[in-house]
Amino acid sequence: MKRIFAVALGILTAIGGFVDIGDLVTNAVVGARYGLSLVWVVLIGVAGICLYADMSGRVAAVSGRATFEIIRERLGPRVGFANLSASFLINLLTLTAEIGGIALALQLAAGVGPGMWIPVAIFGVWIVLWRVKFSIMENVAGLLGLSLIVFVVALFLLKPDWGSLGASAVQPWTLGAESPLSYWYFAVALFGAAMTPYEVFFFSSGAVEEKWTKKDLGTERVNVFVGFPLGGTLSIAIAACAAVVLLPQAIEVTTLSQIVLPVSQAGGQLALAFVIVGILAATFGAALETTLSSGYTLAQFFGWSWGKFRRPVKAARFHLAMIICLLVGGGILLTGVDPIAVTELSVVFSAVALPLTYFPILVVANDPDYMGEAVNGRVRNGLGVAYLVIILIAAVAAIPLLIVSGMGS
Amino acid sequence: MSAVRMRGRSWGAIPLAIAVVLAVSGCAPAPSPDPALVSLASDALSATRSAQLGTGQRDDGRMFPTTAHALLTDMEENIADVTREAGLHQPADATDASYRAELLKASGDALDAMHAASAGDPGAEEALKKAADRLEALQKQGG
Repeated sequence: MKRIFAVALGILTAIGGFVDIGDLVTNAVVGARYGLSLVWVVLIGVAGICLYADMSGRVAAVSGRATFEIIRERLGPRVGFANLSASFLINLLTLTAEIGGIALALQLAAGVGPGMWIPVAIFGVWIVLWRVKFSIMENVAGLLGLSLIVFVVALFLLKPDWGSLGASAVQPWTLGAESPLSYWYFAVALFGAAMTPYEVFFFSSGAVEEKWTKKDLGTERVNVFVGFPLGGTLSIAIAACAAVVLLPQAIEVTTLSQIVLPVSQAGGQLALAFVIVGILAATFGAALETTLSSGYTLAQFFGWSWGKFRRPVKAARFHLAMIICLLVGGGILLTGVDPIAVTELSVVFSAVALPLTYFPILVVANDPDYMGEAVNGRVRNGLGVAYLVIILIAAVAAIPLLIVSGMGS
Repeated sequence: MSAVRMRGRSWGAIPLAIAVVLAVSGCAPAPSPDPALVSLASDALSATRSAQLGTGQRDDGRMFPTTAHALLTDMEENIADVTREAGLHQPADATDASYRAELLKASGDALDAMHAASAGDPGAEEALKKAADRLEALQKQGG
């Protein structure tokens, strides 16, 4: 019974923790502009994150060490440093976007802000990281993030024309007056949002925090292969709600306050309350994860003592690195930069950094010295290589598409 | 003799040429405004429709006043950006100048309607709808 409860909790937190500010904004922007014609990218992205999160979690459970630590040891300091640089910078950008997301969610609830909420968000994230146990932190944020299921409920309450909605999903090439460059720019952005690197590193380091062993591989697989795809359905529901309400009115999403319009349209104030709580939990949870991931990547590369299972005094540099990252992220936002613009940039740059993040994981997951009998099989390797090709294409195309399409304008 | 015949033929071709020119110019599309201005009209329309939707939801009790206030503040900023950018735009010809003037007027009216909506004016939603309709017409004019 305890085991079933643990598995169910893992699935629920995986669903609730799947969506972050990048998913929220990118899916709403794309839904309001293209309907569901880019849903295929979400499906590919979710399958990719499942594949690599499983590898990363397996490496941690079998070796008892986090992926990043092994990457440096296995591939040497140079490749490790390239991996560190790419992952850390993207992580910092994502953290900045998440802090902005918390501030915007609080603005939706209070009506004022978001500038005044940024220090509150930084303090909130820091105090939780400092005082709250890892498992409580992860489970509470994940479970509250489940409030975003209200997007699925709202979609049914809106009573859309399912036929035309489905048709737009299976006719991805109907661009109308839209530029194909913008279409592909948003395809890359959605892919980057779905495969954000921090999720993999957090999953791996979290496995070490929770002391996973080979016995936990079953739980790990269920979390990944059930929880993540169900989390992906939330992303699709966000896009679908935008497609049903915002697209016909020629509303282009540029703010978080526009993203909640379909939900309040469908379910009134109760649904709106749920979605605000969900956005707050999703962004707060993702801010915790990205802050931790920043500390994990630095500590694991430089060989510092790390982990929330250790008292802060025993992992001082790890905690100091997290505090500095939080202050840098908050400082960037306090210059007045638009959090939504930061989010859009973070998902595109995530796509650029993907090969440096995922290639080393594939190498380590194939090394019998670390993995023993749990190395990748042929099917996993085949899929892993196929995904690396997709990742590489997305990474190469991201910056040119960003420039040529004028950020999809 | 042949020269006289040719001159006569040339004079006879003039009405035909005029007819062709008139026909071609009549069929030619009206000059389109600058795409940058059309893009600004789309942005203004998006902000105005969002504000209209949010105001309607607030008035129907579907949206919290705080959330509607946040939305209206965001949309006021968006439309103010449009007004500023349109104001800086240098029209290349009379078509652009006319389009820009209409865009500035419609955006200004939309901004006023948003201020009214923030103040809780019951007629604000209707004013937003009118401004949105004008902006939509401008957007369609740009193709």
